[in-house]
Amino acid sequence: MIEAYAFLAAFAVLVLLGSVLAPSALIRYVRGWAINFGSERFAQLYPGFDYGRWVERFAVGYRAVTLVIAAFGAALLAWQFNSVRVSGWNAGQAESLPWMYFMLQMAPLALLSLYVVVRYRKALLQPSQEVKRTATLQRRGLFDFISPFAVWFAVASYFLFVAFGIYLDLFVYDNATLSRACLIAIGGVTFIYAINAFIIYKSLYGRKNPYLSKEGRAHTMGARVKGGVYGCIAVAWFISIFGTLGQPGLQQWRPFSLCVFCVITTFISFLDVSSPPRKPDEKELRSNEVAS
Amino acid sequence: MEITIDIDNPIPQFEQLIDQIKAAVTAGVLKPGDSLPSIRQLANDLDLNSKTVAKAYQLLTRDSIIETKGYRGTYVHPKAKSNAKFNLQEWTLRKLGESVAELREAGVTDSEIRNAFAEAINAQPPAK
Repeated sequence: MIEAYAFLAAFAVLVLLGSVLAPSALIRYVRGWAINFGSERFAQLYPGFDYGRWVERFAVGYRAVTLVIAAFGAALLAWQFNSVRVSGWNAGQAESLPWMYFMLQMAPLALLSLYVVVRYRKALLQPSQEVKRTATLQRRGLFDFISPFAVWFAVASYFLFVAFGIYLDLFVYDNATLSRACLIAIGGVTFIYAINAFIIYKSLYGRKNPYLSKEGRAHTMGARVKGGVYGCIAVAWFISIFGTLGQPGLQQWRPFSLCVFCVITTFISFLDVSSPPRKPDEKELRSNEVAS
Repeated sequence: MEITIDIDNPIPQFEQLIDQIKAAVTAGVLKPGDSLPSIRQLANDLDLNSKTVAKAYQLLTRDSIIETKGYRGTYVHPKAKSNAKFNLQEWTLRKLGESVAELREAGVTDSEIRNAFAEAINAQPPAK
């Protein structure tokens, strides 16, 4: 029964983190951005666009949606708690719950991002209008933002995962050849590693976001690099553990492990907005002046 | 160290880059062996075409201010400080000026000098 209570505790953390704490941090971050320089910058570049009003509308709407999702999460938690106490907990039924709820938590932000990209695609892709453009004459590298050990660990985790996955499939589950599930898992993890490598590369060497201060850009780069590397480690280890928990007698722990993974993923996803953006100094503001 | 490119400045952007890197080397801000950003990184940070940055790097490499070590990246040349003080354009003008003065003394007209100069350039194998 301990696995059921562990699942309930992890699910409660997921509801609290993904539907209350992380959205609050995001709203604080967006407001900080608007107060510090976002409104001024947008007004210069896009006359007639009230950035401050947009931020307030976003804050109210996003908070309302996330509170509804939080209430739904609390209801799910109460239902599962009741199942444990009264009718007996069904691990198979609970297994899909954390993942579906996590998708629901991420849906408003994903839809909003899609809307912003579609609506403001032209504005986001237009070349910089700055007359004076500054850059640091120093090479940026991956290890400026993350320790070599973490990168080494992420790479080692991948190879360990592949080896462990093959071992598990052939020797623990006694399959004659590699099963489809094993191949899908290896392919999926490889894809996630490739996607994260691409995101890290684009963050380090991609086009500069003109709305970010120098410190804000460094913070974003650091968060994306760390998020990418830690995300890869989390996925490789989670799939390995989840595969191991498929054995008879251990399946009851699968909902808990899935819940913990969703909590870690939520934490990594919101790493970017963990601290509010800093106001750029005078010199930097001058360098951001737009041609009249 | 930060560099600034002024888009409104009539000086070409690649020349602004070259001047600022040379100035940093002369002032000792950039020391021999210091690494420089990649062409892609600098072009994206300054929102310039990568060909502009590549041209600046190419000319700096020619003047032995910087050196490229394959995939390891671009570094400040060991003799960058002395090489940065050398002005290739001034040196070329001085050499040509001396030759023109010598030819004029020998009675060659300006149009003959121009024609001969064009022929001499065409007679040379193309520059790499």
